[in-house]
Amino acid sequence: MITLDGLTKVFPAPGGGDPVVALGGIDLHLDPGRVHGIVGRSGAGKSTLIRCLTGLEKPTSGRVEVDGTDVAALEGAALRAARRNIGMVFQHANLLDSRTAAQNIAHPLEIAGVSRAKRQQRVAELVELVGLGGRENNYPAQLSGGQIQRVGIARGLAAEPKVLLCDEPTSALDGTTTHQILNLIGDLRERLGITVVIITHEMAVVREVCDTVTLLQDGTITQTGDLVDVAADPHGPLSAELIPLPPAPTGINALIVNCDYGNSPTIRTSDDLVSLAESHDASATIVAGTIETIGGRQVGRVQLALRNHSGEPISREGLATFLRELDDAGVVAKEVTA
Amino acid sequence: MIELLQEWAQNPLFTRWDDGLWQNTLVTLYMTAVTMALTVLLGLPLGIALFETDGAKSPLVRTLNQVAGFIVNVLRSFPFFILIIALIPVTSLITGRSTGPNAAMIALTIAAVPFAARLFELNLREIPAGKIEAVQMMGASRWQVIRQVLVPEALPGIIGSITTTTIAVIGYTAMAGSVNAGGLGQLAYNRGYTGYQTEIIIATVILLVIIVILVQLIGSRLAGAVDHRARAV
Repeated sequence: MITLDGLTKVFPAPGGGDPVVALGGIDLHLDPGRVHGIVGRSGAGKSTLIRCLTGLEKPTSGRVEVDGTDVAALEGAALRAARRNIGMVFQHANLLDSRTAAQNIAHPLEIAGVSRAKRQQRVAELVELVGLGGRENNYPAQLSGGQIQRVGIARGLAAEPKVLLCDEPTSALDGTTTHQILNLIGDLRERLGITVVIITHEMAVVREVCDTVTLLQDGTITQTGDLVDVAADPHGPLSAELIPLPPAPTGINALIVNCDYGNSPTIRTSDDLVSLAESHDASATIVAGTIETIGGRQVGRVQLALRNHSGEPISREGLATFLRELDDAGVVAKEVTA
Repeated sequence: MIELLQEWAQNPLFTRWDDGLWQNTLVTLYMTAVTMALTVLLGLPLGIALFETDGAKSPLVRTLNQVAGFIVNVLRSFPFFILIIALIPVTSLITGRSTGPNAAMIALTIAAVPFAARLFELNLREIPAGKIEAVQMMGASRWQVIRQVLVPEALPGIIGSITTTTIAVIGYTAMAGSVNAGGLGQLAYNRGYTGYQTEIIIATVILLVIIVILVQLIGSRLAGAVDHRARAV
């Protein structure tokens, strides 16, 4: 649905110094009908990427193909027509204060020249779809943050775009509202078969709703793939962020080992790890960890405290054997030294 | 005290129509109303043009923006009293006369348009850029953005600017007496000040204060009625 081919955007430096490379040759293909997450810290190039996708910014070089048309090559009326194929949802919704919820939702249809009767019918459908019934005649100032974002999503969907582009859609919302909005987005994908791109810095958003994830760092892609594969790859940069290890408790008289068993064919759960330690006459306790089920598969990062049967830390030789076995099983393990 | 007031009340300027207090009030209101109609008609497009062409890509448009901005600044720095005299050749060319309310209105409009246009431009700048871009991303044309975003979103501010300009124009009309346009300013100067009739000065001041308060009241009410933004209570 979206294909980026060598997308590069270079901004001249304001002071006349070295130019700033916002996007350094992005190649990316996003399949239709899925929820794609694009993550990165601020300054990674996320905003520039969105602006290139909607033709608000012309790339320095490369192609930006959305539903078969090269947005980067369009101008004027053709560009405006192509933009109607992309629905946008913003962090702060960017609704017009002078319009009611219903009038905001109808706005893309008004721009596209849809008749009043058809607009009203479509708005009624959308109000129902995003769960805004009864609030459609309120002005944005009379709505809560979550309701405002529902209006924003309904407006993004109004012109029946092929792609819904969400720029930090939940970053200004509280936890419960975030959950509701993400549920809504996931639900829309199921019901409308729309392609969704979510740009975010929140890993929780990716874990909750995305099918694929792409990590943008300093204007280049450092990792991309299906969420299951990316989360389960202990060597990739994203797995530690998707499955973070909480800080370990201190003052434990044991050898502490970090284990990431996302990719292992034999170690499928944290129980398997404990059993492996016990088969070596050691006792293993999980002292900290994150365990997630992504795509029906358990991936986890746990911290094990290893002791022998007299309650003392296991020997160095024992540890070396254990680490070797873990390595053979495809578990990334590392001793934690205080 | 009461005798003085009774004596003042008998001033024929309060009771007669021709060139009296009430006719001159009407002349002031007439000059203000026509000037403001012309000012909104010309100033709003100018303000939008200043906003839209600021930082344009085309060098020609950028130059036009700078020239327009320069003319606006020059006209705004003229003291109105000087401007109205300097414009006498222009007004006589347009209206055929160099004196009277119609001649004064030309000068008033030329003074008020740049003033209002700058205020309108500021009103438009207060719209968050994200809201304009959101509508551009829906595929809106420039004209659609102006009609559907810029004007309605800035409307409360635009009404406030029209109110401010109206009050400034009422002040300017006092100086229209220098081209013999009539109005409360000329009455207060010719009869009140030069003719030693204190009651005329007091009466014109009270009337002007009432007019200004009414204009402000109506302006604030209208702005409030179209303002749907959240307000701190």
